[in-house]
Amino acid sequence: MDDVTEPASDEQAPAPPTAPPEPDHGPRVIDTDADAVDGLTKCPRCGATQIALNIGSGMLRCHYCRDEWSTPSANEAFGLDAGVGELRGVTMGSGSSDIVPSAEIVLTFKCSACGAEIVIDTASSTQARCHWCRNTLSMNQQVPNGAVPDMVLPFSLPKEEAVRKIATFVRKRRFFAHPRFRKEFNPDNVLGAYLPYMVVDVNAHAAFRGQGEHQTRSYTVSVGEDRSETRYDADLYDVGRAFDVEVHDLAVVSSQQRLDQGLSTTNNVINAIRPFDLENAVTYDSNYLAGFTSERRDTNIGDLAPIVDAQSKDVARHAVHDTLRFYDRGVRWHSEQLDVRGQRWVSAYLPVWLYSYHQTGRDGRSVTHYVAVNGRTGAVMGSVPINYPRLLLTSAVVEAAGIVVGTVVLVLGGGS
Amino acid sequence: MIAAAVLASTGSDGDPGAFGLVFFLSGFVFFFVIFARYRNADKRYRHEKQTRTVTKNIEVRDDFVRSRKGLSNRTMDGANHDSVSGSLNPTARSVHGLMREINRYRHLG
Ligand SMILES: [Zn+2]
Ligand SMILES: [Zn+2]
Repeated sequence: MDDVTEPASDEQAPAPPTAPPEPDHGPRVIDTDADAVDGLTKCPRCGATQIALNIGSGMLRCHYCRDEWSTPSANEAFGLDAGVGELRGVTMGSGSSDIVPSAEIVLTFKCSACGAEIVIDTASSTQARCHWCRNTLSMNQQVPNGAVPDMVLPFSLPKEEAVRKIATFVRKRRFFAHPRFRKEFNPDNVLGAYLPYMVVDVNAHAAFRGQGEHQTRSYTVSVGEDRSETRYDADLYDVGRAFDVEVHDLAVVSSQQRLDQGLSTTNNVINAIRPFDLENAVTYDSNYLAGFTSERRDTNIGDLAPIVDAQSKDVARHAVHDTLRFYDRGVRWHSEQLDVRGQRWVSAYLPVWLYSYHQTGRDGRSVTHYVAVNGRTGAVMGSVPINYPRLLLTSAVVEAAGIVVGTVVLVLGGGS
Repeated sequence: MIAAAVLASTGSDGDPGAFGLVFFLSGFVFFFVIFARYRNADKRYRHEKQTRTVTKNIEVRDDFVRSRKGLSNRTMDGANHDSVSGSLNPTARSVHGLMREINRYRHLG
């Protein structure tokens, strides 16, 4: 579906329109908020500021005159499709720049319609309504606090559908669900959230060396009186694979809290509803977030680079599987090298419908159980808190029955 | 359902003795099947398979070393061509973590 082999890609590597002053030092920056305006962003037809995403069409819609429009494709605007194989060094969107610790999280804007001071808390939104004149103020320019990304993938799955999917998911997991969860479960409380991700293209050279085994024979030998075991003969080979590899759209969540996927969180289920159709992301406009909540990025490229490098190596290791079919007993790599020649980092908001349930343990610590639905594909995954007394008791009954059956099988089978 | 879970966990070619032994673990198997189904603690995005890649200019080396006879394992010792190291939740799904969770939420209400 992606035109990797498209010959007429004469856009070359994405030359940024505004080149950084010293091209030899530091990363190349793609300016992604060149035309961004803070404050009142108005409907081009009637001038109203109440604008929101129409999930049905994927476009922005004016609340008053119903005019619809959208921002350009991020791939086209920033040249993200082109030239992964030509990437050298680090290229990044200006919305992916390092967060400056002193950068304000809560920003104050002056409403240009009435002059009032309006506060936007960028931890959960990049918009606010003026209390006095009811106009909507947007923050679209990138401040180094991680709130405004390079691009956004708008929701396309309606809320009612997400509610239905969550209800179905939980209905199938009722019997051993915690009684309080069962009582309080209400899928209508689902929230639409834009979660921050870094989307990375990698151009690398991989060199793997090791040994592989190909089975030539399997046969049965007898050991002792009446026992037999299977033995295998195999040919051992020295194996090497060296290749150029382009990794497209590797995405890593860029919120500290979401990166923690230990058992005391259920963030892993949010990760499991990927992939997203990142090729359909558009350039950022806060109006896409109207009516939704958002989580600010609070990590930098340097924090995420080790994860991206490790995942790139995983991707490369699996990319050569097709060339290893002969080694039906497996391959053991002694040396795995991935020389990264270039990377391109772009920050994005990706759409997730989230149902959350807060469970507090008797030690006072708590876990938030999520049921998450991909805001594009509808893929669903979740965590349902367990009624452990019921599960342990049932398991004990099953165990007791199993021991009885197992004993019978052993007695009958042992005699033969 | 329980029988199905037990069968699934044994595979198809265990000898009858081992198949009988699995019944002695049926309660544990049941517990983990339900735990996995409700909590989905093992679920993750399979980045190693799902990420789009383009490979070019591949150079291969496949040199015969020697034949090995009478091996007792069906697969190569230490085979790691399938390994994944960049997952965000590689180690946290431990038995220790599970015991802590059971302790914390054993009460109802
Ligand atoms: Zn309008
Ligand atoms: Zn105002």
